[in-house]
Amino acid sequence: MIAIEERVSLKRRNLWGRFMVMLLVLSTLIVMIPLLIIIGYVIINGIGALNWEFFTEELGSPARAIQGRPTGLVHTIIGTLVVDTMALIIAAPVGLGAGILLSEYPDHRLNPPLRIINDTLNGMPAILKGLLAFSIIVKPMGTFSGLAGGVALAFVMIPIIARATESALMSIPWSIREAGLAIGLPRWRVVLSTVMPAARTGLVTGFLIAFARAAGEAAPLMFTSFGNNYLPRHWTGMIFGPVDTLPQRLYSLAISPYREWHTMGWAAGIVLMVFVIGLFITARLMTRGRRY
Amino acid sequence: MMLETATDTGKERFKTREMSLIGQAPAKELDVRMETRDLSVRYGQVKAVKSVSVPVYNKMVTALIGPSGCGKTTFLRALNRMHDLTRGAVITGKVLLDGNDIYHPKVNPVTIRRRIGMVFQKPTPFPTMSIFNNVVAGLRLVGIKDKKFLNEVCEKALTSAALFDEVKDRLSSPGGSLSGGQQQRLSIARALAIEPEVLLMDEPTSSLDPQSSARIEDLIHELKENYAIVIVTHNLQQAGRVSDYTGFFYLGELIEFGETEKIFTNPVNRKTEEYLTGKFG
Ligand SMILES: Nc1ncnc2c1ncn2[C@@H]1O[C@H](COP(=O)(O)OP(=O)(O)O)[C@@H](O)[C@H]1O
Ligand SMILES: [Mg+2]
Repeated sequence: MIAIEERVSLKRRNLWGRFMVMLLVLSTLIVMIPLLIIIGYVIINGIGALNWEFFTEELGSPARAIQGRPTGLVHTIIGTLVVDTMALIIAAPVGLGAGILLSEYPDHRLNPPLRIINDTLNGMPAILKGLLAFSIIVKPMGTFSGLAGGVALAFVMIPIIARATESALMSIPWSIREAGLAIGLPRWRVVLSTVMPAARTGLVTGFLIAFARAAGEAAPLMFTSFGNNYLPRHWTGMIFGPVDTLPQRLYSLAISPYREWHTMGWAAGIVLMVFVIGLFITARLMTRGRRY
Repeated sequence: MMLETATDTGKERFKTREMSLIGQAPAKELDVRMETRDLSVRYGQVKAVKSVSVPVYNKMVTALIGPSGCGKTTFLRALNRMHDLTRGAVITGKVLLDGNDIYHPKVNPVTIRRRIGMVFQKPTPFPTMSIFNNVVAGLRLVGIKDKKFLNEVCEKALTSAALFDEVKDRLSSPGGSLSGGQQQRLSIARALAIEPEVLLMDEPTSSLDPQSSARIEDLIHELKENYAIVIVTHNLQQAGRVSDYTGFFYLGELIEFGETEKIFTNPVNRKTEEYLTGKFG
């Protein structure tokens, strides 16, 4: 009797289980469909403008595009790399330091406030970070600049790097730290020479994710790096003068009155998308190979 | 013998107690390297070690035995300030190294840990470091760069740990690539490389196969020529084989302490006898 009842309920549980799995598959599809639509739509609309010149020419005036003369976004692509790299150079040490304090010094007096500040910064709208960079860099310098854009994006990256660093370090077994202490290493040396090397994949992954997240931000760049239709004459103009970046250029092209520029905007979208998705996939692949 | 709460001081106390315990003067002059006085450790409200007073003699192996959870690890970790980073761990009483309190506020725990080495229950090689760098980590990472010196130390430490012949041709491969037994000997070599004065070992063979365990026991025999060794084990045969002195812990208390032979053949305390005859634990 009992055996039969058990079998019946087992069957019912199997059915129920299968139903739940189907629900999961369905919700996965629902998540994926918008992504596929975005990717498809951007590609269909922008692919027409993706030619050789797109990657070798500057944008120039609208007349170039309208008259079918060579035009492109080489200055935007270079500008994006420069501004994002500057942001990473500023954010990496700060975020790393904060992450180390969060993970390795739980009893430090600054730990609780730092956690709150970091979470707040993480949740703060990016446009406010642009405003901050505007007031501390653009105003004193009297000009929009790549540096200001880099600082604005650094504020986007810092909390992400700090969080990723914290969790990468926490994933390293405590025993490694004790082994370091037991051979008479000071605490900071243990972190630097035993914990961080063991966590390096996780740390690099954090940088990549922060980089990708910041690379997609347009708002904080509008009034910091501002935008530019040309490459600066001298490379220092990339740091001290207005610089073009993909998300901000995408926006400017999209709101322009020219149909040719609209297509170029879509094409800028393709480049940005490939760049960001590429970074995320790299980060993902690196995490998969992690030993801890 | 029940170690009552200590009130007297110094090495003499243990010497006299030892004599009265054995009933005759010890054969060798006993040199107290470390001692604890009323050492207690609690985690929050939980008392894990209760008022333990015990000597650690130089060039002798002291074994700490007792059922699991009785506070052996907790006690051992208090001997080189490993609890400093354990949340909630509170230590009272004294731990003396050559007569000086290692918990004195002016004492740097880093210095203490360089003098009192520790080998953990589980092998803990630094996973990304080469075998060579693992062994000399305690020297290299505090700024000693002299390659020739490091090479010498590495070879000496690996030889002492009976690992040199097995790894001499692959010193640059990662520490994590060794077998469990080799990793434990690597951990021992790493502890020896900084030339500590006391070596603490927490069940160093518990995760190893019998062959590797035997090698490490041999090693302990050789090492005691130069060190004071404290080994935690819940393998009674092992305690009998390697140690000169044995302390029996039960529920955080040191129930009995004395010469290993004496403890094993003629324990004074009923609890000790029950434990040694396998009535519990
Ligand atoms: N970090 C810790 N926090 C709280 N309690 C602990 C901690 N470590 C050990 N204990 C407790 O202290 C007691 C003694 O543990 P331990 O020293 O590991 O015993 P043993 O090594 O003899 O098995 C146990 O009851 C254990 O649960
Ligand atoms: Mg233990």
